[in-house]
Amino acid sequence: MKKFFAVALGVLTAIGGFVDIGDLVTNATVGSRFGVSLLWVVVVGVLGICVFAEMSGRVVAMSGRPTFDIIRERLGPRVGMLNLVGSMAVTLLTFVAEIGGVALALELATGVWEFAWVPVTAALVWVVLWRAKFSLIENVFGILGLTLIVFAVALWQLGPDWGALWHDASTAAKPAAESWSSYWYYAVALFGAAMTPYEVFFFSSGGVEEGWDRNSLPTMRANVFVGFPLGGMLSVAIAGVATVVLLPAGVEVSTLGQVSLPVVVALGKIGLVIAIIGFFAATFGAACETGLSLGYSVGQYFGWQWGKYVRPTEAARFHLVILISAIVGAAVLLTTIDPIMVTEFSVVFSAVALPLTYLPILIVANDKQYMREKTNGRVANTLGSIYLVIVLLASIAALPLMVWTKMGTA
Amino acid sequence: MTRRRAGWPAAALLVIALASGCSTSPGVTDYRKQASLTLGTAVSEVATVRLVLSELADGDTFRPAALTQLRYSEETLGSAAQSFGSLNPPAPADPVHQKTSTLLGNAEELLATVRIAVHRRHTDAYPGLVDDLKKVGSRLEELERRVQP
Repeated sequence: MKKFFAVALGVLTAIGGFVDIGDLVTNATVGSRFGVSLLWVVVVGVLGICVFAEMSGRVVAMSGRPTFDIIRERLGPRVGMLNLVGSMAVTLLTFVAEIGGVALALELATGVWEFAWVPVTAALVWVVLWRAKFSLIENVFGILGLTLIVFAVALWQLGPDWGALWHDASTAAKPAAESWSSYWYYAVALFGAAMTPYEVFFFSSGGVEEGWDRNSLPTMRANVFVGFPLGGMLSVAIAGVATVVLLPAGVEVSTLGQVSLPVVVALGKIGLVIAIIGFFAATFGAACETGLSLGYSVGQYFGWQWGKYVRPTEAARFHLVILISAIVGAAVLLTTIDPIMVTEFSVVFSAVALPLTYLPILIVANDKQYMREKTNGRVANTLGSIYLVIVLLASIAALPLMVWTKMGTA
Repeated sequence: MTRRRAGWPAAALLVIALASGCSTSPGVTDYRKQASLTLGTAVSEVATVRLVLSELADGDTFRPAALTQLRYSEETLGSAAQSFGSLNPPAPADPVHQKTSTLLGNAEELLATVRIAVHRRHTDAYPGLVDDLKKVGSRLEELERRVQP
């Protein structure tokens, strides 16, 4: 029974922790402009993150070490540095976007200017990462993130023409007013949002924090293969409500308030309260995850003591990296840059950096020295190779599409 | 995306300015494109405010959340209109310039009126303002279609 609850809790937190500011904004934007015609990208992205998260989880369970610690050892310090710089830059950008997302959620709840919340949020994230237990951070924000189910309830309450939605989703029919270049730009952005590099970074290092071994494999796989797809359903629901309410009204999403509008239309005040709690939990939880991921990546590369499983005084440099990241994040946002703009950049640059994260995982997961009898099989390698091609294509296309379409406006 | 759209016209203006020796004088086609883009932003923001005000009138949303969105919509529209206004229209595009600028000005004024009404809790005025937003939204959409190159 205890094991059942552990698995259930893991699955629930995986669902609730799946969505972050990138998913919220990108899915709502895509729904408001392209309807459900790009839902296939969410499906492809969620399957991709499942394939690689399972691999990195297996690496942790078999070696007791996080994937990127092994990458440096296996591929050498130069490749490790390239991986570190690329992943860190994107994770820092995502961290900034998540802090901005928390500030926007608080602004929506209180009416107090978002930039007044930025230093408060950054300080709070740092204090939580310094003082709170890893399991507490993961479970509290994961469970609270489940409130985003309100988007699925809103979609059901709006009573859309399910047949028409299915037709648009299955035929990937682009609205006539939109260009194909914008369509593909948003396809890449959605893919980047679904496969954000920090997710596997955090998943892998979190496995070490929780002491995974080969006995943890079934729980880890349940989290990945049940929790992640159900979390992906939340992304689908966000795009779905935007399709039903915002697209016909001519609203194109550019604020968190607009993301919540369909829920308000469907469920009124109670819906808005639940959605704001969901926004807060999703963005704050993701800010903690990205903040930790920054500490993990630097600590693991330089061989410092890292993690929440030791006291802060024993991992001082790890906590210093998090503190500096929080200060940098707040400073960037206090230039009054639009957090939604930062979010858009973060998902596109995530797409650019994807090969730096996923190629090394595939290499390490094929190394018998670390993986022994749990080395990648034929299915994992076939899927991994297919995804590597997709990831490379997305990475190559991301920046040219961003420039060509002026970030999807052309 | 509207706030982003508000930023891109400024970036586009910079490119045009550099390409044309620092005078922001696009050709007719580019000018019409910019007008269409700006009107698209206005359509989105006016529609957003209409939805927010309708929900507020029905008691289905909170005032702080509504005021926050109204402020963003007003800022986005203002920024987009300002970027468009800084362009030097080519002579053949004078009618586009005049119609677009006038309608954008009307939309900006209406959003300010809505914000003030919500701030002052003039709930009686909400239904009338929703109707006004519908009308201005339709005119913006129509002009957006007409100016497309």
